[in-house]
Amino acid sequence: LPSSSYQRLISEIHFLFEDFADNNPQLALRGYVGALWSKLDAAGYFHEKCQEIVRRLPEVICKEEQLEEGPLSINESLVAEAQTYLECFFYFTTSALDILAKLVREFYPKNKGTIGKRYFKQTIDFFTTIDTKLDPSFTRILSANQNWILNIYHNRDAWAHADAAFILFADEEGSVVFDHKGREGSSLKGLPAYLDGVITHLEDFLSLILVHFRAIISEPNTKNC
Amino acid sequence: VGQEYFIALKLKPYGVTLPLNSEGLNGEVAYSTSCEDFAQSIKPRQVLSKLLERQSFVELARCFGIFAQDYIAGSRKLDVNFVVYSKREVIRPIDVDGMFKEYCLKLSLYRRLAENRIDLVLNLFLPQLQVVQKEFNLSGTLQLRTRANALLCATASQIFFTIEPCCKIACSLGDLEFGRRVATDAINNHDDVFRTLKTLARGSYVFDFNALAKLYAYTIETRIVADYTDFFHGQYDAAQFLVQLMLPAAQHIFNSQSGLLFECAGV
Repeated sequence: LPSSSYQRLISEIHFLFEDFADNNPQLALRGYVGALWSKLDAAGYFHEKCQEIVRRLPEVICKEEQLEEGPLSINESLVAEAQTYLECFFYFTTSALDILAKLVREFYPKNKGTIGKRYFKQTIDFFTTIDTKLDPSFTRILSANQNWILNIYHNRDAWAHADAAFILFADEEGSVVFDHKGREGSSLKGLPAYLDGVITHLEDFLSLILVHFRAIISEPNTKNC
Repeated sequence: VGQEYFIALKLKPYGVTLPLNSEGLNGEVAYSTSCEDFAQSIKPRQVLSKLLERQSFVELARCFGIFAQDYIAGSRKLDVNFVVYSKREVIRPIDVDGMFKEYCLKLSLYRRLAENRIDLVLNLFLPQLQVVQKEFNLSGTLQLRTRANALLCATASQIFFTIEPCCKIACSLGDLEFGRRVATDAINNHDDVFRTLKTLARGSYVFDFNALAKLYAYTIETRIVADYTDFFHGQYDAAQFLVQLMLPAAQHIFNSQSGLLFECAGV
């Protein structure tokens, strides 16, 4: 199950945007607020499922290789499960971020029309390229996080439309790697470390989002709101 | 889950269970205007708000069943016209381009992806969903409920990603430019797939590409609902729709497109 800190964090995010939605009923945001929480929760769930299997895989493959004959059936099915959970983790992470995009633009009513609402990639593009002065603090947050976020989108899009997640063993010890289809192209990355890193990035990013938009809500007279 | 519309109908040889329309088995199918409107467009962001009402989604489920019946009816016979057209107008020019191997490799990959995702839904997600829902019914904990929701939405996504590569197979076999883009690894997005299916629907084929285009449009909309909303988390329990309607339709689309791929390209 997702860690308690992650669960607590997404609950706080939920309460924050729920307050905002309640105070701005004309924007009809409650549906998005609920969906944001459930997609983040699902992302955490599939992350843990993937990590759990990936941790077991080296031991399983070592045991199976000691067998003299017979198909390596257990690790094959586990790899397929891990691949699926990895895909689901990325799907739900990008869904959650896309929902976040719809919420974030509501904090900038004067510029709402020019901030993309479909994909969080558009939000990143707007604040880091098109208008870096509207909210410099948010621009800094996005600039610091855009690399891992856009890499998740790249992988998700590649898996959804052209390929599937591909997990394999890098050496005889059975270290697990996956074909990372990032912005710089395709490369093999260690999966356990990647999963640890990306969930840490996600938690850090959500913490920054929480602090940033909490500050905006508590100071309604700022230039943006 | 709109049970009023679900009367079991076993269609051989695929064992698909589909809902009957109000006219009964032999009656003329009458689509509602909204059914046609949804099916003629894949601009889900524009129709999403209309879909997110229980009655609208019940209607979507009913229409999906009707379109699936149309598709099945049109794919029972070998479509000689389509096979001849595909071999002559698509596959031969791609061969002349020197891209036949790349083309076949990509289509094999599409078929494998679709097959893999059906297997995952059948052997991984649905058994887990069953266990989690049973446990939830016993304990009623919120955590199990959210697990079930996650699995349900993941299932909707995976079924879409089964149907999409199958549609790409159809488009690659019936449209030279689409096939060339596949062979050269260029991107064919949702609009390209939908537009090509609708173009194929204007041809004189036994295969009902119009029904396939409609199923594709509805599957996209269902996936968008699962990906971006909480609609399936309480307002509408999509489990029955996904298991009894969408998955059998996906299996049938996979079987028929695999057959077509073999007949046309020998893959």
